[in-house]
Amino acid sequence: MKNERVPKILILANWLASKFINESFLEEFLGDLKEIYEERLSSRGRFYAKWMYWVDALHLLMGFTSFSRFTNSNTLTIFMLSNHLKISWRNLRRNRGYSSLNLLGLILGFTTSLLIYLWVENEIATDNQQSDSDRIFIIYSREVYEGGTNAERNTPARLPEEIKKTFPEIEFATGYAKSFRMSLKGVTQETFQVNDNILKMSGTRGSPDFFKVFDFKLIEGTAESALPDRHNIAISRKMADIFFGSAQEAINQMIRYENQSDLIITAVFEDIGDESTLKFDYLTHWDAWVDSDPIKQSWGHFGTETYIKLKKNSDPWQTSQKIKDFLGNFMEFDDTHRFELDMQKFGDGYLFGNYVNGRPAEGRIAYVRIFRGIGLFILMIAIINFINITTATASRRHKEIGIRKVIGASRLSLKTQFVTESTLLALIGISLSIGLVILLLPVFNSITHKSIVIPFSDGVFWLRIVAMTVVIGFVSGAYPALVLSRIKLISALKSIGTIGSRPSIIRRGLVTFQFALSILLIVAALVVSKQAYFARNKQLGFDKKDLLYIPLEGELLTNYSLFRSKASIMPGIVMVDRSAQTPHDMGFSVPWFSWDGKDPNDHTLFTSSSVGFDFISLMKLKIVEGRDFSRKRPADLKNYIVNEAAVEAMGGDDALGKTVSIFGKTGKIVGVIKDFHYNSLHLPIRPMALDVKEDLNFGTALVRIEEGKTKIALNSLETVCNEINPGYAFSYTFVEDTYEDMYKVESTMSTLTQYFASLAILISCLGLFGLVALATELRMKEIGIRKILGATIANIFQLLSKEYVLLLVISAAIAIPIAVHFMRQWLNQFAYRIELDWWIFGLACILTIGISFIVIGSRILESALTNPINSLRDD
Amino acid sequence: MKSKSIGEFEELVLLAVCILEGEGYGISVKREVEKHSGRSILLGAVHITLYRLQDKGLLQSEMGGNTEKRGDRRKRLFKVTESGMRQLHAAQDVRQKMWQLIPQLKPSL
Repeated sequence: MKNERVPKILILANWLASKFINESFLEEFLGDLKEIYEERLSSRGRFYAKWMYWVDALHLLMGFTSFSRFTNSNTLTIFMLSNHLKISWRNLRRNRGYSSLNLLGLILGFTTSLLIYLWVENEIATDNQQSDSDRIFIIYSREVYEGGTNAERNTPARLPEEIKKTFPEIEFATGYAKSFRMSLKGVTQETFQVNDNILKMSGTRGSPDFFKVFDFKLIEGTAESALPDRHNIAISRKMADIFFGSAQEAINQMIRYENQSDLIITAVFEDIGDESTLKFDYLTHWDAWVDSDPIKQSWGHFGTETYIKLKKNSDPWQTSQKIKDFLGNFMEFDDTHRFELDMQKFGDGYLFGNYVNGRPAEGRIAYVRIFRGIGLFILMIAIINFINITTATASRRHKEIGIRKVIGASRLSLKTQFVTESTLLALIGISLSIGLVILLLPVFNSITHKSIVIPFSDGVFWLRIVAMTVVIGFVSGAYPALVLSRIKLISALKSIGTIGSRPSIIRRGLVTFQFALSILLIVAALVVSKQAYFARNKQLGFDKKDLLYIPLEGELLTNYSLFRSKASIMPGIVMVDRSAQTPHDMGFSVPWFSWDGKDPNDHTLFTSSSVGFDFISLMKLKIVEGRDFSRKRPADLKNYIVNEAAVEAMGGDDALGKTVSIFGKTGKIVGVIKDFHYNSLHLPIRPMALDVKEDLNFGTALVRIEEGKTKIALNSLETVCNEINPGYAFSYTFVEDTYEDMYKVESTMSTLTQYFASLAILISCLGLFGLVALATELRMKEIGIRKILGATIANIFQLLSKEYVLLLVISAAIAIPIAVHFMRQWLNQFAYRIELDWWIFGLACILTIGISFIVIGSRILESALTNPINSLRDD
Repeated sequence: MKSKSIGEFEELVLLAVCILEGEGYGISVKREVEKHSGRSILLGAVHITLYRLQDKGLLQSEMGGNTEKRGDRRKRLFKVTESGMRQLHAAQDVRQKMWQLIPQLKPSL
């Protein structure tokens, strides 16, 4: 068939033409089109040829529909439609001011909600890219003790191996360590060396099954052979490029690891994108790591994560019941205290990452919900605007409707006219918004720390956009279509009983709703930014300025005292000490701290941490009772210092001198320090017990540097580190910087809500402006007459603005209780939070009312000042 | 000469059909007009004009000349009628007369 050489899209054009053009003329038209297509194809290329094919075909259609002898009966529809489009276009141009107002509101609203939509989709896609995602599960542990349950992702390191052995329905199981040094939470970096190239990379450990559970793409190697043995390592493409130049050259090569061993690269995987929460540049062998440390082999140590993949067709619920008491085989439990295992879908782990009462509950899903809500709100505000302005402008067209009716327009045809018009406007608005989103995405990505792109090739996305356009067009065209097509001919021509001289109940309702939403968003923006500011600037109880930490590794760990003595005397450095955990993130808490006279059923969690002798003075902590640890008293190696919360937990008074013990070490409390925030403000300050260890190899080095001498101090540290520890790359982190990370979510939220709130109020005001302008315009005659009869400008101002003031007050009354409810809920996730002061709500209302009053006022004043002669001269 | 007067674009199309001597159809006419006038024209405009001229009796047409290039479809070939020829001459005459009346050009005669 000859037709096969014609692309599908052109067959569609032919079909369309055949619907509207009389058959006896069809042959020659299509022949001409085909001929010219072939010609253009060879001279100007495929795209141009196709494009022009369509232009010509449509042009023919449009042209011929006005010639009745060329057409068949369908043509009337096309003719009416093109007429509607023409009239719509003329109307939009005639009311240029209102059209652009309308369009602007729609573009702002749609751009914002499109951005939010993309963000939400991105959040949902996180960790949901695995091909067998319904079979991949997180195993989490649940601690059940008297008076409560507590769940977390952490499980013993030997669990993956044992659980796979015991349960046949578990096909693969792997361990994963989010951070594998207690002293250093978050991203952990290790040193690698190839020839003279020494670099730190961040990565972790995984079992041989890792690439069978997850389908991260392997460039070199197979899932079977990715990590076969203890001296093997899998690295990312990025890491392969850095050390070897390419993945192909890296495979089967040797790489020096932590200056201790040489590992053979058995797999190279594709760099892991932002859509995964598991982020690593390399994976070393799980068993090699677990075997290196007796603590990790112990079943009582919950420090790593476990992921499994079930066999096809196995029932996850049954499996979860079976594994529930699995830990009982390895640990001893009693009636008051035991650990259980449970499963959560891996894909849900990101959005439902917090555990409440021992089960997965909230998490980032809260933000997804909030933003989805905001997106919908803003879209709604924009659509309401659109409806309002469309309706209001449409009501100025009584004469047009009257004339159309006189010459025989049916109601259907009038309705089509209005719907065509609003759909056309919506289409223009949405096309412009998509362009705007493309421009804004880089900025948006940098605010949200994401790398979102518009899914141009995604059919569903376009389907949604088209559906959105049609819905907006129909919804906003529907009201004028229904109401205006119904008016009586006489009243239409005489302009009696004009709709729109006074906003109808519906429109007033819509405006109220709009402003309620705006107030809600402004309150949210104020509260969130206030809380974010509070979190970042709260007095933590220690001095986080000029404080940095250095991971202790290699010689630094084994020869710590040499490092301390050398570094302490270098220029720019005030003091060096160490701590088992970094000072802003001490999470290690256990219920086993005991003291004289402790109730055996008391399972209060104590944060326990080991530090050096100078920790308290280095951190600038305040001692409220007793004394600091001292090198001059060797007995202090057994003694403890506790915080005020601990004194409280132990029964209140007289903590000094009490004999306490934990992990088999018994000593006396020699001092009490003031509570300080050693965790994020999301968490309460727990009772804390500090002890001093001198000879063990542990922890992270803390360095207090001299104010304003950051550069000198860093140089000094680098010199000392490279001298003592040449096989490792020098790295450091400022404590202050980590706070940025800790409240990243909150500061992102606060920036975004600020933007969104401003947009919401802007869009609402655009709508209000349009409404007021129209309402006053339609009442110009009334204003004129009133002025002639002696009304002052103030009278008229009052007359026109009264209504809107009432609407604003009602919207405030609706918004505030809702805002209080939601903001309370949001703040509840912080242990330390701001109060919901009344002035926040006051400010939000004043802002909204103030801005809208300026908008209304300017328009009203303009009409009030008009000379009556101008408005009355026509009659 | 009542309703038979023709517009500028119609005149161009008519002339093109004359030049093509029976080989005039949508595309060839379009090409011819574009070549001489130097502007680009949409195919549909040519088609519509050809039919309008036929309605006025200035052109006549028959189907013929199917080629594979056209997907085996025939084309409509146009020819000028006698009244078409007369119309062109009339238009030409009018211009000629008016040109001669332009005073500035007289000295050269």
